[in-house]
Amino acid sequence: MKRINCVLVAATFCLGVAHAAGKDDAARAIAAAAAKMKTAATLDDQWTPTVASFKAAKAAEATGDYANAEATAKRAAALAAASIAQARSQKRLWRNAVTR
Amino acid sequence: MAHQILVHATTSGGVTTVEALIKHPMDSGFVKGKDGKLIPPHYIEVVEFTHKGKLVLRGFWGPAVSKNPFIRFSFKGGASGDPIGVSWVDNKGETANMSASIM
Amino acid sequence: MQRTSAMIVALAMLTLGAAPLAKAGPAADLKAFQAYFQTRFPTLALQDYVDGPYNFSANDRAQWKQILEFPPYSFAVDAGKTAFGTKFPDGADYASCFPLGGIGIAQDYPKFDEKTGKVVTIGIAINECRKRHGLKPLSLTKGELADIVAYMTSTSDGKLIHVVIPNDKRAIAAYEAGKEYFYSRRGQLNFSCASCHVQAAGKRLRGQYLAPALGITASFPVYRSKWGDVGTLVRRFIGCNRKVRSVPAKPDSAAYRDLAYFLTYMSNGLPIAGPGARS
Repeated sequence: MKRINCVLVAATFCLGVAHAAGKDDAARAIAAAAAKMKTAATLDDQWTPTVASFKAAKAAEATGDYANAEATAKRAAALAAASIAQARSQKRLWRNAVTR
Repeated sequence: MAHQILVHATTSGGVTTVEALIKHPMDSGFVKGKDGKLIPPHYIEVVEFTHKGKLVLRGFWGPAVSKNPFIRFSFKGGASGDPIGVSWVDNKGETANMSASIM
Repeated sequence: MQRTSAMIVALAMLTLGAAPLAKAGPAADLKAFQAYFQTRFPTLALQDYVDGPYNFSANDRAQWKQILEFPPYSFAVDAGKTAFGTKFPDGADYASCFPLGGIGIAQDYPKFDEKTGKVVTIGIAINECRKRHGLKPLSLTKGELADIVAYMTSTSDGKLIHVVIPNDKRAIAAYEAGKEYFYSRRGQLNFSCASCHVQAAGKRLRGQYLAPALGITASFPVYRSKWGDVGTLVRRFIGCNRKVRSVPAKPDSAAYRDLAYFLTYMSNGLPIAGPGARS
């Protein structure tokens, strides 16, 4: 009986830690996405799907769906990174498109 | 006051042509708004045109007519300066009217 | 002998070095821009470009002409005329804020304001007028301001677009910023304004023909069947941004002012055809 109790306590503790880890991962991913989006905004090149993904991530976080929140936040960060790459490369490339 | 009905009429060879652009949302009641709720029906049910006070056209419109309807029709008769009247009543009981002279 | 030729070479290099490499300024850009389209569409006269997409489909053109027989923007012009003539609480009116009382001047906008160093579109000028007389600004995209712009534009029907870029570093910088915006790809779909309105001009995007960038501002503000309403150039900029999945800028942003400056300047010499009707 005592042994089962110990196992149960240990299991609950582990689950609790895993739960907290999911929450932290989600929060970290959201913060990372927000930082990337800030850079994209200063470059005047934010994509609408980036904003939509970020909103979805925050909504998932609010309902406790941390796995989803983390995945969606990572997607938002990736989209923001792509928009940053676009803005930076266009700074060089736009002149090629000018009518001559 | 900005107008809700723009109408003009011209006559030539004994035939008068009347054109009117009528400002009205003509909501069918089947379209959802941004909030996801249906926009309630709001459309002109009857529109009437008169020439010198006599009815020359009565239209039974409804939800199938689209926003800000435009109508053009002709009738025999009419002379420059004659008054043309247009009025409508919608499903909410609202009305509007306007008059113009044949050019 | 060698010393002389060396001196000649040196002199030649000095002269060539001294002459600044002619940087293509706005006037040269304008020439190239208009020439590009005229070469591409040899059957179109310069003023035809204001008809936009209706140069490319006889069927669309016929329907458009029919709609114009009793123009859908008539209500907006009517409401705009009333609003324009309404006195402010302090007794002044819009006419007092504009040259020539605001009549027949739309073809000169956007203008460069030397005091603030910013580009001023006609919509922004209306809001500045309101501010000077203690009134709140109106939405730059639609509603009362769009109606007023529709009315003011109607008084310039047929006048030739005449945007001025003064020999002021800031004005030229604003023009260049607008030019960069026009040619820069943006949004998840990675399109620039030029992608559709230069490269694909006269071609179809889904069911509609794309208007060439030349002449595209001439019909604004425009009654769009899609909007069921009259909207300004800024309203269209915002819509286009969203279409390529780019988050739009604020309506009174420098990005849109400068873009309007560049884009309208490229139509210098074409007649005002606004307000207009489009699908």
